[in-house]
Amino acid sequence: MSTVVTVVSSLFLAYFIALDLVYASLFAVSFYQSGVHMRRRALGGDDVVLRSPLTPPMSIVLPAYNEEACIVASVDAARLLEYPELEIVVVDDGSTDETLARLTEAYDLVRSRAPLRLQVPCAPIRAVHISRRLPNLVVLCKENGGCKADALNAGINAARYPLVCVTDADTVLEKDALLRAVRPFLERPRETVAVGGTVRIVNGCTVDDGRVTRVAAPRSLLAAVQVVEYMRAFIASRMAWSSIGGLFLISGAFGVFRKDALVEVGGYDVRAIGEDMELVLRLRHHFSARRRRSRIVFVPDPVVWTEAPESLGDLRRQRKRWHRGLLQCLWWHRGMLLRPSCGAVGVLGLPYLWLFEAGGTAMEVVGYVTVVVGAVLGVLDVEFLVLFTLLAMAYGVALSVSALAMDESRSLRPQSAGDIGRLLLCTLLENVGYRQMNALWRFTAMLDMLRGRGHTWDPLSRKGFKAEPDES
Amino acid sequence: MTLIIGITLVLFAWAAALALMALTLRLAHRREERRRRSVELAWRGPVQALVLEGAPLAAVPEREQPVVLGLLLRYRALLRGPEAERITGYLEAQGYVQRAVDGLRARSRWRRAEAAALLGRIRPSGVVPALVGLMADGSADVRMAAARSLAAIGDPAAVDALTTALADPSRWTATTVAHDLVEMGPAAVPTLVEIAAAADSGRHGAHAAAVTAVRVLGEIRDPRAEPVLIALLEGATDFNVRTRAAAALGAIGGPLAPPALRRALREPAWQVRAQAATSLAALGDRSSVPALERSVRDEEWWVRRNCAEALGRLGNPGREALGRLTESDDRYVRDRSLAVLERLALADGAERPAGGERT
Repeated sequence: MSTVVTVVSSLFLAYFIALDLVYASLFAVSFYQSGVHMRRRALGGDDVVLRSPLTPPMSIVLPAYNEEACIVASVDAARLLEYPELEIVVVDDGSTDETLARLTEAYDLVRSRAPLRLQVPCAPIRAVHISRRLPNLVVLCKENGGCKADALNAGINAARYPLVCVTDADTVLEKDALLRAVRPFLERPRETVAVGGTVRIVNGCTVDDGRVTRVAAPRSLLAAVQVVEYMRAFIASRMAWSSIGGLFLISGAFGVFRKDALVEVGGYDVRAIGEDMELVLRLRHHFSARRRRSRIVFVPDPVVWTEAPESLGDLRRQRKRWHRGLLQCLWWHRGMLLRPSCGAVGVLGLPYLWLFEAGGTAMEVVGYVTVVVGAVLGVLDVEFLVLFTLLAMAYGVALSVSALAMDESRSLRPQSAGDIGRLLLCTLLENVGYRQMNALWRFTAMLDMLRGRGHTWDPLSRKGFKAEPDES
Repeated sequence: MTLIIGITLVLFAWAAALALMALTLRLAHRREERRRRSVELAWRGPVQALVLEGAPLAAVPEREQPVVLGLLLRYRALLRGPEAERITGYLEAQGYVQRAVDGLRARSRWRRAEAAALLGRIRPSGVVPALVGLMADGSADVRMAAARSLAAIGDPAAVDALTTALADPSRWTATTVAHDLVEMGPAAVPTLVEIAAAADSGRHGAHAAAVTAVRVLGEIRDPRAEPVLIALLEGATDFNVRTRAAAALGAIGGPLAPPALRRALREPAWQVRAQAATSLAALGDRSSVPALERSVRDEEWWVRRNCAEALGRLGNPGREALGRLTESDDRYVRDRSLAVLERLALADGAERPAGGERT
């Protein structure tokens, strides 16, 4: 038995080293790429996008379900986005509250008989409304499709323009987010299929008139830890995956897609738990299967702000859903795994997800079981265990602090020294307790999937931006 | 064991050092910002005297030079005439222009791009050949910076170099140049016409360049482009070129444009037919109403949609046609016509047509 424990320990150690090397490599690539990006940004170009005759018009889709409290503010915020030609498509996904009434009141909506061209499947659309005040506003009223994907599909059907920006009604976009996101489409118009941006956490920040006017760390410790986690995910990882052509996720909070590509693949899959990742993988699969060049990229500057859960219950539900979504996507697209024709996603991205994201949970559990078994059998080297745990923690902290330092040195919206200090403390918490908690949730999500209890949608409770007043 | 302890300590030390660096950077940044503001405040008066009256500027300490340069460049972007020339003259005298010209030959692509961008902000005369030379640089970032600077300087000698860049392998450079050429206006038209006419020449990049050139011609709206655009609309092999030509004709107009666009309503590519309908509406050509009314029954959704929308923009004859179409036996035609009439009624502030209902 002790031999088994030793073999498992060695495997676990090898896995740990491999994982850390991957993280370090991703960070190094991200560091280099973000430097290039910063220098390119300093050369300017936003004014070109804003005034160029070649800038394609864009439709922004705002799905809304019972958003009476914030829907008007969301549309107002979308109106203030800097972009030459922008259409706003609000999809009222069968709300049972006063969402439509608020919109009607604010924008003087009237029902239109303009026929819609249904190019991707969605639940029946009951009515199309246009505004007497805003010629570029369209409001769709549809039957509830049970998921965001269905509402987005309806929005894609109504979108008039060649580019479609997908976001949430409760997400705050930086005013230049669209200008920055469209640049890859201008650089390589035929190949670029989708562009994602950085998602940051709005908790603690001051939001006025749909804009983040002051950046600050959240007061809730749980949200502050998520700030560090998001920084690591977006700044130290996605940039790297994007630069090697292996980006596998464009966050549902913000993404710009070519409409013809969305239509070609049939829009979002309403059966998917993680519809955002599933769409990206399907786009990759679709284009590679037809041997057509396609580009899905991450650009760090289009920043959007979203609210992070502040209660453990909400966070647990969110993370379990994300993990179930990941496992489902990996299973659905298992045919892409290690297939060179699928490019870097097939050869690098998916193996990474299988081994370190999906497999990581199992490995962690194996690690904990090994510790317990080793202790019971009396073959546990306590000194080694303590040192190894400390090493793992040190590595995690070093990586998180590096991401924080990189973000701080390159961010256009720096935070106060006090907030930075607070986030630095959170890098410790992230590695002691938070990560383990996440691993446990992911493990239970995996069990749920295996038991066929995967597909449920648990809405999070939102505080809303106004619930976090600035007290500084 | 010792190795693990060593690595752990190194990692913690790394984290601590970076944490310290992040905090120090933040504090240093704030201090630097305060210093910059105070330096700017101190030099604002003398700089304004230089710009407005030509009063000599005292020697600027080296540490304060970037702030003063930034101030001068901000004024340079806003001003024209003798004031702008004084700024350029001062910066030339201080050696900024020469240093930037030297920077155009730097090994680092970023230094070359930054030098080119700086020249575009100072706008001295005599640097156009150097910037034109940079348009053949291997780095797209450098070419883009050079193109923008050439456009900012606005020297007619740069037009050829800029239009050639429409075929640049980096579409971002082409986009930048397109924007700049629109700003330069009629001076760019003859070269743009040549590039557009060469759409089917088979040369590398000729097709992409032609598409962009046609779009730019549409933005400049110079009537000299009409013949080549009609030729492209009727003869280009690629539907994208024909579509762009139809769009540009809708912006430019001219006596021959409406008949050509009406003929385009019957051409094989639906993209061209759809654009032709929109362009006819943009020209306000009421004699096209019968042709548009026929095309509302086109087999392609976008063509039907654009034709109905176009009829709505063609005054009473168009509205009358839409009125007739509301009684069509084709449900789509009926609904689309009603929708356009509804929207027109909303725009007029009038009551909605029969059947319209308030939400």
